[in-house]
Amino acid sequence: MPMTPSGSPQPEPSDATAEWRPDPDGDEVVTASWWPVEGHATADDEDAPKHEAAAEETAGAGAAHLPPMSSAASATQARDIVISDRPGARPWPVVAAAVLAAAITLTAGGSALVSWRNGQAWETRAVAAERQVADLNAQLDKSEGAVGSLTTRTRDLADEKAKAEDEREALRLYAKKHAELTRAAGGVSQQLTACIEQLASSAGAASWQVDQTVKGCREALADYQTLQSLIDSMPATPEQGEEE
Amino acid sequence: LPARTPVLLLTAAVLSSGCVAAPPPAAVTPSTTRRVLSSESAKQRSAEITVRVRNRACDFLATGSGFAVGRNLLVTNRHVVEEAEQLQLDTWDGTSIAVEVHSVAYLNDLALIQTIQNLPRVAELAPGDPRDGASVSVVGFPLGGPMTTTTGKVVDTVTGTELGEESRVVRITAKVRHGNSGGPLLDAEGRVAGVVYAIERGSGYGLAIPVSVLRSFLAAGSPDETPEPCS
Repeated sequence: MPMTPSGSPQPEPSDATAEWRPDPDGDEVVTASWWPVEGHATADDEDAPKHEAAAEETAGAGAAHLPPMSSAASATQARDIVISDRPGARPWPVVAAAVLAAAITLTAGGSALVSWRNGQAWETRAVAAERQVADLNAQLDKSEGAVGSLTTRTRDLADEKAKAEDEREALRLYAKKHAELTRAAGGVSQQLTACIEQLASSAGAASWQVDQTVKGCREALADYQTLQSLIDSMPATPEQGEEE
Repeated sequence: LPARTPVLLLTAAVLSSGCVAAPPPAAVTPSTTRRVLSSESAKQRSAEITVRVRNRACDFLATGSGFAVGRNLLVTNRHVVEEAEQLQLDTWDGTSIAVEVHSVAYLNDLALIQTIQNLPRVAELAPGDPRDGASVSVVGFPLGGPMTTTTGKVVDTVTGTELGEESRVVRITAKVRHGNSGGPLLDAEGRVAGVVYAIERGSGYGLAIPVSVLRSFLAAGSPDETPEPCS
């Protein structure tokens, strides 16, 4: 029965791919039918070809491409070699992880490309939008300037219109006062005319009659002076709203 | 190595995919998109609520200012519209507003005029009287000329008995001249905080009836007096 390196009994390998036997110097030597990494190596005993043949039978094409190792190398590295029970197949988690990683990487790569292109597109749009905003602001400033000057012009015209209307109303008021003064002047004129006629006809009249005529004339003269003062008191411009 | 391979590959894949994850679309935040409302706009708003009042009385002509508190309601001073044979209103842009038939309500030196045509813009009243030191502006048509806006601050609020007014009176540093009578006293937000009515002799401060009095006046009801025709 083959023995494990620790000396315990070793069950017969089902594939007969590895065996243990003591070497002539007393050291334990492990020989294997397949070394996945280090290469094809055998102990320097006469069974090597037999083991090689067994390895080729069990490993199949997986080990066929590996170059054979020198005898010296196989003798010193034999203890470091990992022995695989199924040399031709990779563990499924590794394969699944590799596939998953590849899928994620591809997805990420695609996503990166898409996001980069999106970023470029957004950047372009942002720059264009910024430029458009700047243009619109410039137009708005220009328009506001035009509106401002138009507003000022409108205000000036409105002021001129208001002043013209003030003048019109003042003239209407003057006209109304003029009519009143004219009526008053007509009355004063009649009074003065009557006075002169009375004075002319009162040459031989009594003194009291003359005094009365003179008194009437003085009243007419006073009315005339009042009329004159009214004419002088007419304001040259319309009054503003009175305030305290 | 074979045992670590899946973990390493997955880690590398996850890390690489995380590194290149699509960033959210960057929002366009240009620095010049938001335009602050210019003072010109504020002026324009105050201009639209203020009108020029021309009072053609029996034997004199007077001008003053007023502002809209409703589509057909105008507030001004009583002394601006007293003895009116005909009232004429003009907006800042020269539009004439008919007041062919008008009625007037009086309270102290306040008058409420009803118009036939709509007024261009209704003023917003401030919630309370202006506080001492608050920034205010006066809009009106001083000396019968073009519409102007002067700015200043509230000096204080005093009893108006010695200033020709029964209610309390707001004194302001903003320049007030003849023709500003009846115009609005605006707060910093452009709301009506008072009605300008006089200039204080000596100090030269402008005097205004506070908005609380105006509110009481408006709450009292619609105009019910019709001015007597000119004899």
